Amino acid sequence: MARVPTHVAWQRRMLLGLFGLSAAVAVVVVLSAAVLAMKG
Amino acid sequence: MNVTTEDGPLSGVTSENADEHLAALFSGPWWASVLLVLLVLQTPVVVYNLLRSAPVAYVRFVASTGRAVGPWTSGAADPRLLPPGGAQPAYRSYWAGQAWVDVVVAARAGLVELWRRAVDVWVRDRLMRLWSPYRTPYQLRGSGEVFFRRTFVFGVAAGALLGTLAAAVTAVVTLVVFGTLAAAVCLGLTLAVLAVRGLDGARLTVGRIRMKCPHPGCYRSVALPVYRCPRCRAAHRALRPGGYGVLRRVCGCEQRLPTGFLTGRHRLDAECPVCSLPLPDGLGSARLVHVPLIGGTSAGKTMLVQAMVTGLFGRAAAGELSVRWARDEDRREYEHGASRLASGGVPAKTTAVLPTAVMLDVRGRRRRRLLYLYDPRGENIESAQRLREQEYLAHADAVLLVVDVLADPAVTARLTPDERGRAAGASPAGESPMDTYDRLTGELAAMSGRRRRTPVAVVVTKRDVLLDLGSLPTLDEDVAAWLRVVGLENLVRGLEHDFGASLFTSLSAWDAVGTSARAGERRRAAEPVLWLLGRSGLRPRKMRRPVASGRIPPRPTTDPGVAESS
Repeated sequence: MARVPTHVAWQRRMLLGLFGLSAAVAVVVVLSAAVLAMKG
Repeated sequence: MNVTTEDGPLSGVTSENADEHLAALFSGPWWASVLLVLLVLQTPVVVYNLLRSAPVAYVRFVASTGRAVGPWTSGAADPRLLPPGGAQPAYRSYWAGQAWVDVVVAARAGLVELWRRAVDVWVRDRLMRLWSPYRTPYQLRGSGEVFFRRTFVFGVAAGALLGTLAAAVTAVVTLVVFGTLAAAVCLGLTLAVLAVRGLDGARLTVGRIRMKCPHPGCYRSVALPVYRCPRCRAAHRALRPGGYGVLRRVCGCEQRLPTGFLTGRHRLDAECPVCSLPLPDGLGSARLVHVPLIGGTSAGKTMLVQAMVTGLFGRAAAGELSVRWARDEDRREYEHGASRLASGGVPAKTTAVLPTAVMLDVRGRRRRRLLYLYDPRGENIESAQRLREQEYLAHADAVLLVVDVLADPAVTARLTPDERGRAAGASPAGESPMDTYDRLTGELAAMSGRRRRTPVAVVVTKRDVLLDLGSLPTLDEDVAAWLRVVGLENLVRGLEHDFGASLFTSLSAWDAVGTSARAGERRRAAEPVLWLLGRSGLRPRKMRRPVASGRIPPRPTTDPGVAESS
């Protein structure tokens, strides 16, 4: 089975960071939308 | 009592009216009233289960997706890795392929986890347990307890469903943002590829750097050399910013390779993509200056190359220049020639049908040049057909005309019989320099098409012999005038007319590199090649600027035997 090269390992950590950022953004977006919907 | 609210959704509804509405709700059959009460009681159950299931489901989604992005430890086994190879023996850039595989796999894992949690955890586990009349496989619950538990199963199911839906919506938003960010990274890298390629192209254009193969039979322009991986020697035929990396790429052996000049690609071993022979070190990092030596057989071209190279290294030792060999083969050949000269011999006669350029990396005050010195055998110059086969002449940035006046009948006619004997002992060239020049000028115009802009350095060789011939005027610093006097006026006039600029000088290569070499002559040996390099913009650190303007103003020089016209 193929082994993860060092450069792929590093890039995957970057991708994971991007995913974490996406999750945070999504939570903020959904909660803001919910609050706005309740106020509206 | 008649209380009226002033605003809000209950505006205009009095407590009396409310009582009437409530009475109306319970005016139906008894079971409807019971159902209504149960529904009202379900509301907190729904809200509780929604608030409980949504964050847990979302956190599980995030954790599963994040885990599926990995493994991110080097050396870990991973079946979904894209193997290196394809058009190039390298890994494609992570963001050009593998990242999207990872994104899709991770997103699928996250959504599957969300679904699995909704179905397995809530429906199959909690709701079924809530609905089941059994406390244990062998113990039934009481009917009252069963009724009570089943009463709330709908609220729990509705809460779990709504919570899972909320988590799913957030998950979808997360994946959209994730995909957008990943696409933005890819777009940024694509723009970076275009920018780096543009910068590299601009550097080549502004620096007028055109890569050429120095090997006989090829001499082709090289748009992009084939580079060898220093670890596994794999051939990378398109080592430039692109789908395999912007500034660097990773070879199949995991060696990182620079993809452009900025990151040091020119320091890799390079080969010609046409003939597969090695290209000089540093090709593409500096402008090339192609200088063919033109002269008949035995005119002294090889000795002149030896003397010029020695002179250049002498000047480098004096701090005027930095000079280094661009190929080890050239260094070895030079050292071999030097050892022959040191033992009283002469360099071996050039026998190669087509010459391989002697390549030197020369750095002046601010600029660098990669000097290609072509030393063809005289026979190649002595017929128009063979001269046409010298394809490197098409790239000539300058010409070094090697003039052996002892081969000219007009000169030898002036000599006494004794002097003729001494001249014959100096192995005169096979044909008059005028004949060589006539052939050269026509072919050069046809091959390069820019003869009028090409500078020419004329070196009268065998100066030590010429100074010893009393019938000839003394060969002083005005070499052009001396050539006119000895009967080669047509040659001087033709050179001044046909070429953009010309330098006339004389040299005894033997006095520069022979057993009784003199430092002054050795220093002067580099003069013609330095002048030609100066025409390409390279200035030695301590050298005066040569005259740059006009056609043929003589350049004052302190060195005897050197005169320039342009």
